[in-house]
Amino acid sequence: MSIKALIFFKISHKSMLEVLNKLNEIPEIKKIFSLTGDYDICAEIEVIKIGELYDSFAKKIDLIEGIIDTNTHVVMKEFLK
Amino acid sequence: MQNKHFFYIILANFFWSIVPILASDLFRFTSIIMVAFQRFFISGIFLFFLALFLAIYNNKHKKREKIPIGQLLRLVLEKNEDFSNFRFFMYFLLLGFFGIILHIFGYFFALKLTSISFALVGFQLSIIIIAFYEHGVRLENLDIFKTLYLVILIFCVIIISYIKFQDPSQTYISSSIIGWIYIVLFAVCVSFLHIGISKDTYTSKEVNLINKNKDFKIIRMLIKLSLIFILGFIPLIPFMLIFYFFPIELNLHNEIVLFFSEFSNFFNILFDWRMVLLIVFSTIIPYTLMFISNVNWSPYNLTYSQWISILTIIEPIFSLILGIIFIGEYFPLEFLIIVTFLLIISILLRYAHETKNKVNAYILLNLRQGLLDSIPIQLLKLSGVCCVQSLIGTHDLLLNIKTNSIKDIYKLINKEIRKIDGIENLDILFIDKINK
Repeated sequence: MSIKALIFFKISHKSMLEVLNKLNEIPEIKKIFSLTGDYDICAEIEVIKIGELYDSFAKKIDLIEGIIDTNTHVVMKEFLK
Repeated sequence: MQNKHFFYIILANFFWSIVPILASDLFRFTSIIMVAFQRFFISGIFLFFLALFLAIYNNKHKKREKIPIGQLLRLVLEKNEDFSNFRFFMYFLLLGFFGIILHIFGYFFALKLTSISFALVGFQLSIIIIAFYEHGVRLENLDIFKTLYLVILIFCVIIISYIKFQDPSQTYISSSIIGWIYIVLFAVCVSFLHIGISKDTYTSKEVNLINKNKDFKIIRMLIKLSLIFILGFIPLIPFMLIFYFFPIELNLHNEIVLFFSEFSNFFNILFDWRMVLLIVFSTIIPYTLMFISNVNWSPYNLTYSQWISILTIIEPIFSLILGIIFIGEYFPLEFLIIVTFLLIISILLRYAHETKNKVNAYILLNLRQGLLDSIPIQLLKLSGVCCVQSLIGTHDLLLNIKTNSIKDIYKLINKEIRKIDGIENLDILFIDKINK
């Protein structure tokens, strides 16, 4: 059973493409959306253990230059129709 | 994983495209009505028992949520709010008779009286009718891509009609008017089926069940389709009696007489290999494939119904090519290449239209305490809401919304979502681009 989380990013001016490319290289990130509104990017990340979420964050996402702020939400349940 | 489901839709369309070849062969020794009756009545009974078997198997051998068979069957007595509050029994009956039986009569008579390539004009006509209906009820915009798409389809209709006039066997000329009437009947009924089949939204109880056990959705679809197939035959009895005693249309009258006379031969016809192929490969398997795709469709990029609209043109392309190869239909190669090319271009234009017009958004919601379990189900009932995710973080819920226009998003958010009691805050994030 995997753990899914949504990470919302605020990106600094002129860094959008670089950040998108770097996020694309992270295998745990399954989907990436460019957004309009309070956040610039939303990434859907899927990991097996919560520790992996930390690893992805600390060792990969946190090192990407151009990210100003993140807001992470862990998905408890997905409702579909 | 989604590629697998695209493949299922293409495969289902391919299986449907074999119908004209098998049916044309069957018409040589049996009536059109018998072919339609055996194809849909037998498939309907099979799908009904398949649904019951899956439900019983799930309830006895799986640890998932039990599927209430009684509730499923009682559906026929409930009212369908999306279909003028008709009971589901009547909804299935009307959809079955007009959407399936008369549609197939139109198609089969057109096949018998004209030719495969000419009968396929009905598909293009139905797409044009649906497009104008959707434009009329403001469901979809007629943008440049959709307009070009329709122009190409009309152009294909003109080319195919022109070729049939050139047919050296002249079979088309002798039956042109009555053949056209059946093609129009086919196009109108298939449009009714496409428009009517989606007028059925799940109740809150059902959405709840789908989220506990997604097999419920496929079982409900099987029950719905089987009842549409079976109940559609009820109005056929008075319909046949009228045309039997009042032979207004001679082709139909002759087929009814033949149908009644060949009942003693029922099982011989049923076990003919062409009929078996028609029932198994061109009815049961393609519908089941479509349902599996629908149930497992990931809420990503375009929706399942948008892809169905895009890929629907595959069926006439395959039918046209198979008709020329296996039946030896008259269709000059240069025109075949042009028509196939145009139809493929029309698929791309439809894709461009669907992609350009979709409005994809995320909405982050904060809820009043104690409503985390009930509000997602209320939200999922709204048209345009594809997925609801319950979150740990600064927000409680994330909705994924897909609509055809910004006007629909406005209506959905301001007239429906904001009216739900318990939603305290709402942040809208429009999706510009999907990058992975």
